[in-house]
Amino acid sequence: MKQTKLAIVGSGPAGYAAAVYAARAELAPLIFAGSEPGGQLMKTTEVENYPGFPQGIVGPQLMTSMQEQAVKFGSELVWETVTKITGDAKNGFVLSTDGGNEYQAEAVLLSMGASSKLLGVGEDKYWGKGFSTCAVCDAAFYKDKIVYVVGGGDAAIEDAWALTKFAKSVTMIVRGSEFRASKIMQKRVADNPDKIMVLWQTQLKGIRGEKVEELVLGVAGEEKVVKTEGLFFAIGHTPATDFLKDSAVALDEKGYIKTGITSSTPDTWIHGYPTMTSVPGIFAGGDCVDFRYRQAVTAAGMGVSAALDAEKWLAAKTD
Amino acid sequence: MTGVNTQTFTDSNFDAQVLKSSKPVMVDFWATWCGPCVMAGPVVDELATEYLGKVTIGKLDVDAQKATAAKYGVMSIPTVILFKDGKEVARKVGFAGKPMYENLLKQAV
Repeated sequence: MKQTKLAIVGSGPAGYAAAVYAARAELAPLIFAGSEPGGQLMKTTEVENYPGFPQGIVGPQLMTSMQEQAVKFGSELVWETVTKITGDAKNGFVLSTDGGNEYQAEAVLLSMGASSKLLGVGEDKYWGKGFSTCAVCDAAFYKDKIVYVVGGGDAAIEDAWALTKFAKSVTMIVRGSEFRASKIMQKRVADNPDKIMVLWQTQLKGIRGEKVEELVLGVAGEEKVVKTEGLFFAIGHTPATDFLKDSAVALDEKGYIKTGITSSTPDTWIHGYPTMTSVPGIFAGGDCVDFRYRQAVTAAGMGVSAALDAEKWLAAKTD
Repeated sequence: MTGVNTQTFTDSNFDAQVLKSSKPVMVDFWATWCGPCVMAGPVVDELATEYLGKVTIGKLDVDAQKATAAKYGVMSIPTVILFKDGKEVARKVGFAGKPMYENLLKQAV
């Protein structure tokens, strides 16, 4: 069984930032890339609010740079998804993966982030057949086609905008009567009524066709069917912590991992490890912990905090 | 960018190198602007070396080779399709790590 001092679970900003620090501290961490390598930024275009890039940087480029930086200092990437963690601080932890392998680690850093939410209206069978949660990846396949985007936040508007460059028509399906998006993004829709249409107070109820062909919409208690060729979801994220449900790692009611950051006492901050989970030796940071800020830069910061705590904990253990 | 054992498929060589191949072939439909595709690239290259002689593995740029991508109804990338005796036998959409490809390749060998 392959062994490491520190196993980092997840490869978004939190995981890679943690890996840079842990690798420089000579912990030679293993990074488990997970089922969505690179994380949420892989589905974005221009990132304009990551400090250090005044001209903006393309999301996937930022992530490949972070990956390169983590590997440069001695992290090793494992292209597998962790499905189970057992063990304890005394005997070490064992991580099982979807590749059927097991790895042993003295400490674990959880940074799985969050995944796109689904509605459960039968969209599962339409992946790659007209349904996507990555407009930025797939917009080009919808040249001169009619497409719909579900969601009312920044990500939904960004997706709709990316689609306008190719599609014949782009319509947003918004549950409420207003956007949850930032002012600057809302303005983009308001200023381009010819490019993006909005259906307010509308819910997606179902999908019909061999591939995506028709959508069943619920509007004011009535059902309406529209023709389409593409359907994109941008309705938020849910922490990627399902595999921890039967473990000793405590989660809150929404599935976020509890650490000293979210349920702290002054003592945790002065003497303890604020990023430690309910299991000694397992630390966590980023969007799988943070239900509030959820930014690339805050995730990176939390990843680093967790790496520093893990490093300190490992050192104390050896003493 | 492409590994030494990774083939490059095009609209013009697809028939000869994929459909008429005596070995199973895994085709990675990708594009330079697709982040997950670029991240998956080195993993596909690794597999091309590991499966050398058993399964032919190669990439098809959907921007440059539009006809083939359209023929197989590729509407989301990365998409990998496994061909055997000229027929599609399995397909996966997205990049979810190495085991995803290995599970697909198990159907070939």
